[in-house]
Amino acid sequence: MKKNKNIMAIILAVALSFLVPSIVKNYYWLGIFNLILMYSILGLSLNLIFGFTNLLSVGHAAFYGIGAYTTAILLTRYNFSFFPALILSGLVAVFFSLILSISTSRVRGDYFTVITIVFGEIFRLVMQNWVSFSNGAVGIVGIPAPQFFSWRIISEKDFYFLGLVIFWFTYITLNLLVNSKFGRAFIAIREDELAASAMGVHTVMYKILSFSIGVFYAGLAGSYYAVYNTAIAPSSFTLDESCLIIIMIVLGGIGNLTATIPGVIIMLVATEAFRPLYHYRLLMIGLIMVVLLVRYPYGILGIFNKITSMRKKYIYRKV
Amino acid sequence: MTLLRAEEIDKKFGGIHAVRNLNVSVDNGEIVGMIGPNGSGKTTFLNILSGIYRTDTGKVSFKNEDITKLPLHCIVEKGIARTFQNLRIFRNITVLENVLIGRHHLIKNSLLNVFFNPPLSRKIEKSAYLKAIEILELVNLEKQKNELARNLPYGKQRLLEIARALMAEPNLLLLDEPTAGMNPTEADALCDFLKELKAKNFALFVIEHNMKAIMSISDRIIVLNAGTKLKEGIPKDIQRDKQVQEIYLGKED
Repeated sequence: MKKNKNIMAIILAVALSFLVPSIVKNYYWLGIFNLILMYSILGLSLNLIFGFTNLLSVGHAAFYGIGAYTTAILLTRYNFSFFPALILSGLVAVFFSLILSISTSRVRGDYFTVITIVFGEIFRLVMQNWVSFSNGAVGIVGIPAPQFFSWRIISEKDFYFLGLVIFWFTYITLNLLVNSKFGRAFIAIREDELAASAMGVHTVMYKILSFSIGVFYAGLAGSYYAVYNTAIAPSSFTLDESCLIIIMIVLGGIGNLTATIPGVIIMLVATEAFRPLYHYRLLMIGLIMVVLLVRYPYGILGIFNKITSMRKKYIYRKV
Repeated sequence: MTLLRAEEIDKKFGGIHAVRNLNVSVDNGEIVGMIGPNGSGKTTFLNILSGIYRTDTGKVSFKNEDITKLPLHCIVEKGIARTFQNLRIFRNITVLENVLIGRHHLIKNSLLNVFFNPPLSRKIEKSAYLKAIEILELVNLEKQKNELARNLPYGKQRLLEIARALMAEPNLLLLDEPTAGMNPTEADALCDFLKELKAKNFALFVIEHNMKAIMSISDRIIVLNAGTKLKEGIPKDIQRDKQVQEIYLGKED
């Protein structure tokens, strides 16, 4: 019964989300919606890695960058069409994530985090300096618009639909994953690695699995970014970008997929809203974060939990 | 039939000789208790049986199969499940999810099913869910199934850990001080529950400090002192034994 309700809610949300462009005509706002979709994909994927499996990866921007560069190079130099390039971008990102996660499978906790930071910086520096391959700091420009049969994806509205499809794909498949035995194994690793292992979870393998699945979606987001922006440069995939994604999921709620989305929306809308303040913008965003996290340490998810528990108390009092 | 046989188990940590040349066997449907003063190597021995530590010499065999060198996560597949002395439940998830993780290796689901055949995947998960409810009813936790594990009272958390181990459908259950932190009523209830498990043909290996409990449930008791086996026998004999009284109470002048 409850499951059916959830499915109905998702179908409703999907239907409503496709109606957005017929209400929001302003291209500036549609552009923000597109960013929200892209960062939601990144946030969801990092939430799987960090929120569920407790692998704090600060190199997420690098995998997103790998996806972006793969699409850019395939589209500009090898005349690939977009769809195969999209899937390949995810797979190439997974390939690099496997190198990273297999070689660090014995490294735990904070040390893993440090290694991901280093990986992110290596990626950025290689892209900046390997001019013959990546065109250096200038980056790759003139990435052609993707095309599906007769649908040429070129306007903000078209990109909204494209982003939406990738977003719902990510959201639904990740939800299926975390509600299966695999998701529970990830959570068990987060909660207590030794106990998880004693219950038969191959912790090394599941950590690698979680990391590579998460990275696949980051690769998709990167691919989307490349065609949306039509130009990419190493400066888009910095440590700051990785941190921004972490902030978004912490603000939303760690270990809850749906909570990622409000976190992303708050960060991006705040960035836009405080644009007139120039440099002081970051100060304001910092202030919002401090206030929110002091008041609700579990993020926006905490607010919802508080409301439901308050409602429960109220019902009990009535009874 | 002998279920578990540990032969010549020996374990050193640097200069400390934790377990010395220990031989233990557990038969089908038998409750074997292990007692001994603090630091006598009981938990170390249990950790060796469950694969957390590896023995320096000797071997552990289960159902006539050598499991000495198996990694930790494979032990449970063979049919040995355990609980921990200092409670290792998954605190921030619900009671139901806790128990479901215990069934990890028995849920035959694959990533392909999860992503490409969700109905089948859900059907497989559903059967695990039904089993979980069954086990929770057995330990009287089904009403709290949606409660976060950390919000349960201590005695119930202990039960939850046993329920999680039972979900793996083991032949042998290793319990490390199951009544620790329980009041006498809870401890009695737990003893009754363990006897019920024995009646269902589970074999149990129990480490315990609560003498009343261990004497009432065990078929056989092993007394450990400074890593060596001091005595082995039925509870009555152990209670009367002079040497055992000495290590617990000191020598009479």
